[in-house]
Amino acid sequence: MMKIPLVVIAIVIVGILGFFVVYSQTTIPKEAAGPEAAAPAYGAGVATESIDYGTIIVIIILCAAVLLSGPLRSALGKKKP
Amino acid sequence: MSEEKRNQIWALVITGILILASLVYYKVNVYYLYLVAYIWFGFVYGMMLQNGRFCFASASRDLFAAGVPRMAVGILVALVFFSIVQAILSATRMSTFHPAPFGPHTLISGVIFGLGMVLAGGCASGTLYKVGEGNGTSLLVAVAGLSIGQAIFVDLGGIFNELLPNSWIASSALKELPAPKGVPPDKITSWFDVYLTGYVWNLPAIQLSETKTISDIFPGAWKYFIGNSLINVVIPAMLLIVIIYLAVSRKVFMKKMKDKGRRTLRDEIAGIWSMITASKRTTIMGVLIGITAGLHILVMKGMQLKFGVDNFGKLLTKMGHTGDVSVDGTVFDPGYWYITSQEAQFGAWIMEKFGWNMHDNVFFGVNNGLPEPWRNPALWMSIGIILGAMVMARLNNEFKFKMPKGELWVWGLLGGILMGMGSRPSLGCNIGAFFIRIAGGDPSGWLYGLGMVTGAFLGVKFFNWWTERKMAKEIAAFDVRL
Repeated sequence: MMKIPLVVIAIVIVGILGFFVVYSQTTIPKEAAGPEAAAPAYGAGVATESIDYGTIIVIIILCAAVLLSGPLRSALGKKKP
Repeated sequence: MSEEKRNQIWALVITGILILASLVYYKVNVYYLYLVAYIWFGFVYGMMLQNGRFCFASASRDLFAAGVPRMAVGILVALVFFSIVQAILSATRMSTFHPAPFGPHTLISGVIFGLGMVLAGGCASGTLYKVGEGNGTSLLVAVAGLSIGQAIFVDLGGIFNELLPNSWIASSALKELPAPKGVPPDKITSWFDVYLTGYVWNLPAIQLSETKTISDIFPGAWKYFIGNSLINVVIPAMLLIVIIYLAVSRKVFMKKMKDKGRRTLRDEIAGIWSMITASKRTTIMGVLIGITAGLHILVMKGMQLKFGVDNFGKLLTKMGHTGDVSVDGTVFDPGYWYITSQEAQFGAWIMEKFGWNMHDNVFFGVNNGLPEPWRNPALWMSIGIILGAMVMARLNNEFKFKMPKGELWVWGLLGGILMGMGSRPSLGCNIGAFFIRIAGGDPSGWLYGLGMVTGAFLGVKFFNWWTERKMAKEIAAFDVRL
């Protein structure tokens, strides 16, 4: 019984946080923006130094590989008393 | 209606009210979405803290008093995950993190905070989630100790100013200039103002990725992952996990093993893994808290870029609420998970209602402003934590309002005041000065952690002594009656 409201609230939270992630990373068309129309363009003021996406992707893949490696988990799991 | 059903309805009602409040804010002005983001991240933190029983005071108490490493390990796991997310955000220029001044004040502050959290029965974040569970002692800690206690602490002058070193006073005087070039002289009135302007502001702020050595050896994005995450978090956290395992869990694990032969490295790794996964609930919550805290930074940075500001005070000014902001046009807006500064603002807001001028100091007047509570983004985050914890406690049928009784009044009040006194000088608590800083690559977080653990150890020892003394007295009284 407890699970139904929890699932509803979890869906609401994921929806709201998802909205904020998308909303905060995108621009609003100026004609629909209201008070935001006066704000500088999205990303203004960010350092112009190029972002090293190649390294970031390699590191994310490495982290994911370590975390998801089945053999590591099962090897360690087998030793549990 | 059953208790369970009533709790479910309460959980849905609280969530519904928050949704409604969010819509009202949006309707009033789109800029308030910045504040609404804080509410919902606070709400999620609250749910996870309550569900994982995430409390730094419990971590210390369990480890030192009972030899249970569950929570301490959970915190270290959360740190590792948060540091990786933070490194990704720094590498993509989406981080709002800023390191803090590094100095011995951080260690001293940590000791006071650690002692306070054990006496109060909860750290800063733990206190808030326990308020959500209906714990009256935690409410006392949050309102009387953390909020009002902190506000008074930063505004004390008079005799306290007489105790300040001359070097601080001289250095502080050099910063007396009209805003925004310096600090207006009429704002340097309390001992804390002189401490900030004459001591703390002179100290260096260190972030490993920005040091010459790290940035020279590891160019590009590597400096964030190697410097901030691997060197500052992953390696120290692993070392601590191994130390905890050797000191607390190893003996028990080895006894349980069926194969009694010679122990190999593989056995030891399996033992450490077993300790980490002993409480799945705490470990999973640790992972989720780490990821959510990173997501929070991403959203707040995105909001700042979207609205073209670097502080919510600028949006409040645009909306005409100039009385809310500091002389620099700012309010307390950390851009990530933070606790205690907003409680101090709430305490100052209450004190002002009683005629105490809280605008005449650096902490509120120059740095953090004093917005009305309903326009205070960080305070809304704390309210979100309380409400999120309340929802989770209701769903787990764990909500119960409990008034503080007997000596709990004393411990709550004393612990809360000590926590406030231990968080202001270091500009943060177990979250802002420890959790966030370490994950962001600032080694001062470890210094604060060392102080916090030392203070907590002393607190646990004190409580053990107190309890034994009390029991001895009760037994003696019982013997006399017989």
